[in-house]
Amino acid sequence: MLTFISGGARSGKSSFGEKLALESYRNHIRGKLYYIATSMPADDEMKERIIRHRKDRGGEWQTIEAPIEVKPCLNQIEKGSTVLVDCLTVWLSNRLYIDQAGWETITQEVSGWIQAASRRHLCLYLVSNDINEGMPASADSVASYIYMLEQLHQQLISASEEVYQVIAGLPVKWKDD
Amino acid sequence: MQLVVGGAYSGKRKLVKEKFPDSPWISAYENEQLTNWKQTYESGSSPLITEGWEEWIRQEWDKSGELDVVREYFEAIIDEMQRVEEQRKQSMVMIMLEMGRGVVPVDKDERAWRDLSGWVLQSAAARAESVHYCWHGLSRKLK
Repeated sequence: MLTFISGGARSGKSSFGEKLALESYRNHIRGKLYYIATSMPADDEMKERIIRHRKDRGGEWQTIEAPIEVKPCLNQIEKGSTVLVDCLTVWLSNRLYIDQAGWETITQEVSGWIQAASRRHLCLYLVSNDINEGMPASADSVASYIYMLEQLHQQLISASEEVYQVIAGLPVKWKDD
Repeated sequence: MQLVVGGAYSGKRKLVKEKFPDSPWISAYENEQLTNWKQTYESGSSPLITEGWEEWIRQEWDKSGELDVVREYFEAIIDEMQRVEEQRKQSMVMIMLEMGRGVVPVDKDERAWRDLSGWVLQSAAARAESVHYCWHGLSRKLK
């Protein structure tokens, strides 16, 4: 089962995603609870922040760092697990600018997440960011990044059972199949 | 008048195309001018769709550089659209971009552009009988 969560910066989307994932995990008998972190610890400050977040989440979570390849993680973990991927925006920029992956590779990987979730009975929670409601991007590279992110959002949303927009910590439900 | 609003690439055009597949369009993204709207409108039988208002707003701002002048210019167009629409009993669809949710732009022209786009959007929403908001390919009726 797929759940898509997005919102503005500091809207509380990650906390909401964590809350939903934890509830889902506690209601399931199978599998474990995973946090897939897509950011790369670039400096000491970032490393410290990651350690603090990890402590805050508590002992039930298993953390996997996956800045580039998320699909293999989803295919390796126990069936029926609950997984939170945080976040799609960072993952996309890693794929584009570090891994220099092409658009086809990227959409195929995302299709792979959807397939893995359904085939392996994962409760997959995806967190992303609303970045398309500010000033039109003046640089082509930024405009095409926003375009690609929007395409991925729409791809994931059409496969999601539940979709939430988080505003000031409050979830607004957009889809409930 | 109907208004469809949403961020960049949020599925606004798709929503309107599905609803009105055969309608005439005036698109700023195709370098078309809003000034021709009356001719295009009168030649078609289905609702006239206008998209890319922020581009036309930017062009008017670059021409005049006066906030009030540009704002009144677009409010007059929307008023006229509403008047003609009532006369002809034929609907009009405006597609507008939500662009006010980022950091305040440092550049004065960008700030003016953003302010004007927000004001025109509010005028359009106030006059429209229906307003739909698009978000990542989904849509919700706000009015």
